[in-house]
This record gives sequence, structure tokens and C-alpha cells, in this order.
Amino acid sequence: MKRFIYTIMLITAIATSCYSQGGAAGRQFDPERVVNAEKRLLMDSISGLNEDQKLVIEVIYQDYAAALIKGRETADPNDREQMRDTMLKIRNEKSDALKDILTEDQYKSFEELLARRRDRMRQRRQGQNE
Amino acid sequence: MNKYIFYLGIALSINVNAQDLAQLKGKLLEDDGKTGLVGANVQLILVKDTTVQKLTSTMADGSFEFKGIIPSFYKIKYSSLGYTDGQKLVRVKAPETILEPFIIAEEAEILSEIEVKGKSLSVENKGDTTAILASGFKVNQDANAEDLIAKMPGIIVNGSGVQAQGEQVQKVLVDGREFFANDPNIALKNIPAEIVEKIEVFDQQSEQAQFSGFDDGNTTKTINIVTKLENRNGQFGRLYAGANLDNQYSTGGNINHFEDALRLSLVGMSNNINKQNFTSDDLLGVASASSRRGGRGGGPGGMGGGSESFLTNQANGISETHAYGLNYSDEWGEKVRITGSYFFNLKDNINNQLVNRENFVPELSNQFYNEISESINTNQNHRANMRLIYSINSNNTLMFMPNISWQKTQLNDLLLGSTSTLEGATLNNIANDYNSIANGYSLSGNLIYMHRFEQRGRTISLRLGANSNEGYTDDYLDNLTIYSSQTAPNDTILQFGDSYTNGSSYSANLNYTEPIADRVQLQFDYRAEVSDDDADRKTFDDTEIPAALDTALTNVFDSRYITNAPSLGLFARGDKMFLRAAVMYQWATLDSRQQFPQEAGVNRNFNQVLPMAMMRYRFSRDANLRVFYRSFTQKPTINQLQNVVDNSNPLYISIGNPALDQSTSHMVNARYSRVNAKQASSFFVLASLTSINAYVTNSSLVVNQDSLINGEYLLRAGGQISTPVNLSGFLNTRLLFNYGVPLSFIKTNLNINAGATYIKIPGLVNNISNISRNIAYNGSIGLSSNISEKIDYTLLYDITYNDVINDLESNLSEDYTYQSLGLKLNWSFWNDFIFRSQLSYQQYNGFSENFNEEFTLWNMSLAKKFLKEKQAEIEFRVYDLLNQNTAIARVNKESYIEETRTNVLQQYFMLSFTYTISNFKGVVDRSNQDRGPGRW
Repeated sequence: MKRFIYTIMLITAIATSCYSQGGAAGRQFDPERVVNAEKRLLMDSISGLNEDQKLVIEVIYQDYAAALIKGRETADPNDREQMRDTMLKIRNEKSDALKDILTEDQYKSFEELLARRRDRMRQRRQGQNE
Repeated sequence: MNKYIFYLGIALSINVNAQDLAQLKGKLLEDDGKTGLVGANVQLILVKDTTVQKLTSTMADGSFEFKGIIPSFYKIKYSSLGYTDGQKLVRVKAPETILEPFIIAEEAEILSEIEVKGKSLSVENKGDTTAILASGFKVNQDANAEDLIAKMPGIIVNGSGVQAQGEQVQKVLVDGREFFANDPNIALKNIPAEIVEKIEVFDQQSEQAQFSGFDDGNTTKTINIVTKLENRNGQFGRLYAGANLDNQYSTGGNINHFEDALRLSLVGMSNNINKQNFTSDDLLGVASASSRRGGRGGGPGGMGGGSESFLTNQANGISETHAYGLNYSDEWGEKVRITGSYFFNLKDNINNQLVNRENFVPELSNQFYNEISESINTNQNHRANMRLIYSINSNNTLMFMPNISWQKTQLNDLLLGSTSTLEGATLNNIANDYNSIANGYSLSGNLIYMHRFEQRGRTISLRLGANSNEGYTDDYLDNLTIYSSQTAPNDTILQFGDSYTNGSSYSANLNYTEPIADRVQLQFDYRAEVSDDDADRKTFDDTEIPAALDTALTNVFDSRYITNAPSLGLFARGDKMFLRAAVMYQWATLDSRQQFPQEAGVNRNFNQVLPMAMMRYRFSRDANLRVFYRSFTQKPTINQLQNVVDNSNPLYISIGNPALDQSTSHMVNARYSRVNAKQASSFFVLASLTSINAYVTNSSLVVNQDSLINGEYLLRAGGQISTPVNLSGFLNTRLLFNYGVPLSFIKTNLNINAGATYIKIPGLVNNISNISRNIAYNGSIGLSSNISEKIDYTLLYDITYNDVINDLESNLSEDYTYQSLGLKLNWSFWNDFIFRSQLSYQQYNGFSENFNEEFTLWNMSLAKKFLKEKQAEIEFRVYDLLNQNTAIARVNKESYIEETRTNVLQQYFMLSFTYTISNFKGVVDRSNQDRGPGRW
């Protein structure tokens, strides 16, 4: 009986591990999830935002998410260079809009937050690879 | 979010340089979608910094536009009476953004006062600050900041300075920074109106109070001129020169260089037509003969304290002035902010006066004194100051604020006077020739360290202050007095004197605040000050050879005043109410010591409890009430304490009183202010009461027989001696209303003031109490145009009725009225010609026979602008076209009433040339520029 239980536990553990790795590798890019995460970071971490700024930021990210989805749909999936240029252009437009709605200090703080987050992600990836 | 329409246009985004300026165009249409709505107010607010606002109104086709704005997100608010208000968020991009028309619907309920429409959303209450948008007040293109604020509600500009919300403005800042230190005149007269975005009026707190957030009640009425963002990077100013064939001239100007945080301003003027655009220093109190002869009488002064109290407005008479100054403001790296200025002025003044004075003599008939005098005064001043702020880090700040002033003055004062009885019999005649040369300096500095702890609301700060001043005066008096009485021989005085005064003081102030609950803060404060004053006066009788020391007029005196004052305070803040209360316990010692002619001393101790309280209640976003109570003490000056005889006018001698006590003032002030954004109207009412215990006033004695003063000085019969004494009962109460509203149907702003003042001054005349009561009622109504730059007028009517009642003279009717009607017009017409006219009718009623007068002063000019940008102008001007100008004043004192007529500038013509510099590059980062009010 004990051997049976150990066998079941082992199979379950292997299956879970395979599923989770396979899931990560195979998960589709979700622009709305990424955009929402960035928006939350901005809204929660930057102090002194007034109500109108928050309202405009909501719209900037809505438009950003919509533009990303549209960009992916319209771009040629086999032309990675074109896809990259389109995404870069949309991202820059979003950054320009944020520069217009945030004060210089707020924008600087936000960029620092994003840089720190990128560093953490990079470190995590490096840790996983090691 | 539905109430907004977004014009974010991200997909259309183009790369723009953030420094480029943009233009925004739009249109307001009625709900038929075709008809443009004229005269609606459109307000543009920068979303990320709502202090940046612009205002305009729609044209005949409903269109509006904003020029020179930075590309960003804006909120547009629009309103028009009888229509529903609206607001939109838009994104503006360079070089031009054109919006889709906004449709504005009629309100279901039509208001009865439908004719009053098209007003400007120009006044806003933010806490203790009233912000007034400049764009709601159209002025001519050559107007300066003073012309602009004169049109604003609640602000009065007159010969004695600027009053805002019923109080004298003591400081004018430009973008939150000092501009020529504390001289309000230089900023207001040199900053052009066209670069002003808004004016902020507030009570500026001390540096320590600003830092801790705990208002100690020691505030300064301040105006902050906020400049337009697009005018903060470039050069601007104007230069002018004019002359006529009568050797009259006027030259001057100002040049300003603004570049990022750096601001440099150079101002200068040179003229002999009485023009002055600055406030004079008078460290020595000798700049004008009238102040020298004013005796040592007390006054309610001392509200401000410090070296600022030496500042005086323009002297009487006619002056030739040369003045130059430099102001520098910059940031050194990210941590150091510095502002500094230097100012020099040289002034030659000729002051001819005719004086009529009625002296009260209890139990006998009053005496009448007439005087004709001429005083020639040359005065020069240097003053420099600096303000350095070192932000060590976000929690630690160090400030250093030194000031230095130097003055030299030379005076020649000739007078002929005569005293007579009610029946007209002459008692005496006097001929006086007084000459003096004086120089002195004042040096002061404050060093402040402020630390903020991690715990929010916990702060500590320490201020160390030092002040030193010194003055020397050499004077010569040549006097002949002829007495009508057969028994008294004629007197001749030939004397010279040396006076030396020296003062120093050291003070420290430790302040600690501790949060004790959410929104409740406790404050502990400790102040200590040691103040030393020396005054030596040596007088020599020059009728003897060699000149002998006159011990009756010689005195060596010093005093030391020490105060210690701990205080405990509480500050609580609710959603609608701020409450601050503190109680200070002050113990002080005043030691006065006379070393010559005899050794004597007086030591006194004072113990006082000095409470303060302040409450601000916010009824709504637009209405608030501020009630404020403060008590403070004031020490007597060395001049009031030193018991030396001043015989510079031998008929009116004065002597100090070493037994004087410090006075204690209690001041209550309540101000209710309300703005109506929809009607763009503003209203405030101010009520204040000041009561002074142990008030320093005059005791006057008219001697009816020859008397020895101080056991040595002989005062002849009919002469008068005055001595400062402490008396209780001083009261000053005041009530003032102001209402301002734009009347858009005639494109004019209406400003109405009404006020009443009651002043009670105690005094002693021949040892009998005399209380002088002055009740004054004042009303004024002003209409100022809000049409365009082309036509700019201000019409002002002002009436003041005074009723003076003296206990000793209760049967005398002492009421008098002053009325004035003024019209100022600036009309730009055909081919850049400009017509300027300034008309002022003044009428005095109830004065004595020679002083009841009415006259009209009318100045006008014709000018032509030329060159490509119309930067050059040639002007032909006539001053006092009707040749009627005159100057009359009346003073009511506890022992006399005095009327004075002073010489004034008469008619002249002048041709002048003006060149305007205006070179702006674009926008700089606002976060480095605007410190805002109340912030250090």
C-alpha cells in the first residue's frame, strides 16, 4: 500500500512539474495583463497624482493595450523586425503621453521604478538559469 | 469618466521638443451646433500642475484660443450664465491643436439676472491664499504689475503704498522668490503686467513656522507675482529718457534676464521730477525735517519690527533722485538656492512747508502756532541683502539671511514760527537754522537650521539672530526767539552737538513640534533675546570761546533689555477647520543707566502671559473665515528712554523718560472671504481690534511761566515740553468691506469698498488726561475696464469723513471730509498712437480757512509707437495741465491738531523716448521656478 501511495505522489509531482514548465513555455502573451501590471505599478507607487491625472492615465493605458493588440493583429507574424518596430513605436507613444501627464519628478520616479523592476526580473531570470 | 471627452490622440502622436510652445484653438457652439456662444469664460488648467492656469473668453463666433502653452494634457472648463458648465480633458501638441467644437446647452432654469454674463473665473481661495488670475483684468500693453493689481478686487494702491485685504503689503515676491528684498515698490513698478499669470495674496509666516507648519501668528502681508511660464526664459525690460528746456529730466529703466533658475535684474532711475519707484531707508530717522521735529511721541507701530520698520515711502516736497539696484537669484546645483540684491539711492529733497497747529491748553485758551519752513536734505543709502538656502537633504535645511544698510544724510532746516493766543496776541516769534550731518549703518543676520524627523509632523528648528547698528550725528543750531512778554528777554542759541547711538542684539529661537494624534500637533518654543543700546549726546554752547559743554543738554545713557519666553502650543486640523493656540510666558528685564550728567539707574522686571489663537473655518471651497488673536510686547526705544533735552525747536522741546515700561498689545483680527466662481465675484469683510496697555504716548506741558527743565534747562513762558509716558486705553478698531464683480455688459470690473475706523489715543496735556477719538468713515467705488489692451481706464471715487473728538476740546467741531475723483485712461488708437490721461480732482472740507481747498491735477500725454515690434515709443507729456497741484495733510494728535501744506511739483512739459525689450525663448521647467506662496 505504502509503495502505491509513494508511486502516486511521485507521478503527481512529475506531472505537476511538467505541466507548470510546459505552461510557462507555452503561455500566450497577454497585452492587457502586462499593461495592467504596469498601470498598477504607476498608480500605486507614484505619489501626488490628482484625480484628472489618474483619469488620463487610465485612458492612456486603455489606448496602449488596444494599440498593442491591434499592432499584433495587423503586423506580419513572420516579419519579426516589422513587429518589433511597431511595438516600439506604440511603446514610445505611450511614454510620450505619460511624459505629458506626469510632472518631471513623477515621470523620473516612474522610470526608476520600471528600471528596478527590470533589474529584479533580470536577476530572477539569471537565478533560474543558474 | 463620461463627463469628459478625451482628445488624447496617442495614435497621432508626433515627436515634439518639450521646449516648443503650442497653440490651442477651439469653439463653443450653442446646442443648435451652429451658433457661436460669445463672451463665455474658458479656463485652461494644466492637469499635472493645476497652479498653471489661463483664462480667456470666446469671440463673436464662439471661438477661443490659447497661445504660448506647453504641450501637455489640459482641462478646459467653460461657463456662461444661463448655460450648463462643461469641462473636457484635452491633449495639446505643438505647434497647433484644433479641437472639435464643444456644444454648450442652455440651462433649464433661466436665471433672472441673465444680463450679467460673460464673467471671468478670476478669483480663487486656497486656504489662506487668495489667487487672482491676471487674464481676468485687461490692461494696456505698457502697464506694470502695480497697474494690474490696482484693478483687482480687495487691493488698493495709493500714495502710501499697497493695501491688500485691508492690510499694508510689506513684501512682494516674484515666483515665490524675493525681489530686491522686502521693498514692495521695486517689484510692482518694474515687472510688466504682460508677463504676470496671477497674483497671490497671503500672510507669509516666518521661516520656522513655514517649515514646522505651526503658524506662530507673526506674519507679513505678502503678494506673490506668478509669471507666465513662457516668460521665464529670456530678457525683458524697458529703458526711457526724457527732458525739457527747463532742465527737468527723467531717465531710467530695468533690464531682466531670466534663464532657467537664474534671474538677474538691473533697475535704475535718475530724475528731478519727484519720481521714485522704491522705498527709502531711514535708519537714522532724519531723512525728513518733519520726522525730526516730530518729537518722541509714541505710536501704535512696532507691528513688524526688525530693520524693515526703517522703510518709509516717498518724502514730501520735490526730490531729485538717482537710484540703482541689482537683484540676483539662482540655484547652485540641486541643493543651494540663493537670492541677493544690492540697492543704492541718492536723493536731494527740498521741502517747503506751511504749518498751522492748534495746541490744547487746558483751563486756558488754546494756543496757535504757525510756521514757514524750508528744509534741504541730501540722503544716500546703500543696502544689500542675501538669502541662502542649503537643502542638505530632504530632512535637513540650513538658511542664512544677512542684511546690511548704510545711510548718510545732510540736512539744512530753516524755519520761522510764531505762537499766538486765540485773540490773536503774539506770544513769541522764532527763527531757527538747524544743520546736521548724520551717518549710520545697520547690520543683521539670521541663521536657521531645520530638521524634519522620520515621524511625520516631528520637526526641530533653531534660529540664531544678531543685529548691530551705529549712528553718528553732528548738528549745529542757530536760533533767535523773541518773546512778547516784557519780562522775558530775547534768547539766542548758538550750539553744536555730537550724538552717537549704538545698538546690538542677539536672539535665539528653538522650536520643536511633535505629532500627538492624527492631525494634532504640539509645539514647544523658546525665545531669548539680549538687546543693548547706548546713546551719547554732547551739546556745546558756541556763544562762549572756547565752546563749553552744556550739561543741561548733554547726556550719556545706556539700556539693556533681556527677554526669555517659553511657549507651548497646539495645532489641530479637521476637514473644515484649522485651530492653533499657544501660550507664551515672557519675563523681561529693562535696565536703564544714565552715566552723565549724574549717575542714575532704573531696573524693572516684567512678567507677562501672552496667548495667541488662530482659527480658520472653511464653509465651502470658496468661502472661509479666519479669526486671529495675538498678544505681544514692545520695548521703549532708546530715544524715548534717554532723558536728554532736545531743543532743536526751542519752543517745542522734548525729553525722554527712563521710567518707561514696555507696552503690551492685544490684536484680534477676523476676515471672512468668499468668491463666487460662476459670477467671478469676490467679497471679504475684515474686522480688527488692537488694544495697547501701557501705550507710549506724549505728556505735553505748556508752561505759563519760565520753568527749569531737568533742573537746568530754562523753558520760557508759552513754550511746550513733551515727554513720553505710558498710558493705557489705546484702541484701534476697524471694519472694512470689499466687493468686486465684473460687469461684462460694459466689460468693466466693479470694486466697492466701505469701511469705518475708530481710534482712541490717550494723552496728557498739562497733567490732565486728554483722550483723542477719531472716527472715520470711508467709501470708495472703482470701475476698471476689462475691454482690451487698446482701451484701458480706471475710474475711482473715494470719500473719507473724519470726526475728531478731544476730551479737552469737546465743544470744538473737528470734523472734516476728503473726497477725490480720479480717472486714468490709456487709449491706443489710429496707427499706434496712444493717448494717456490721468485726472484727479481732490476736495478738502472742514479744514481751517487757508486749508479748505479743491483742485484738479491733470496729466496727459500723446505717444507714438514705432519700429517692427512697436518696441520704441516717443511721448510728449504735460504734467499738471491746469497748474493747480497742491499738497495738504492733517494730523490729529493727543495734544494738538496740525494742518500742513507742502510744496509740490508744478506744471511741466516733457518729451521722452522709451524702448521696450522683450525677448523670450520658451518654456523652462516649472518645478525649478515656482516655489509658491508660504514656502521657503
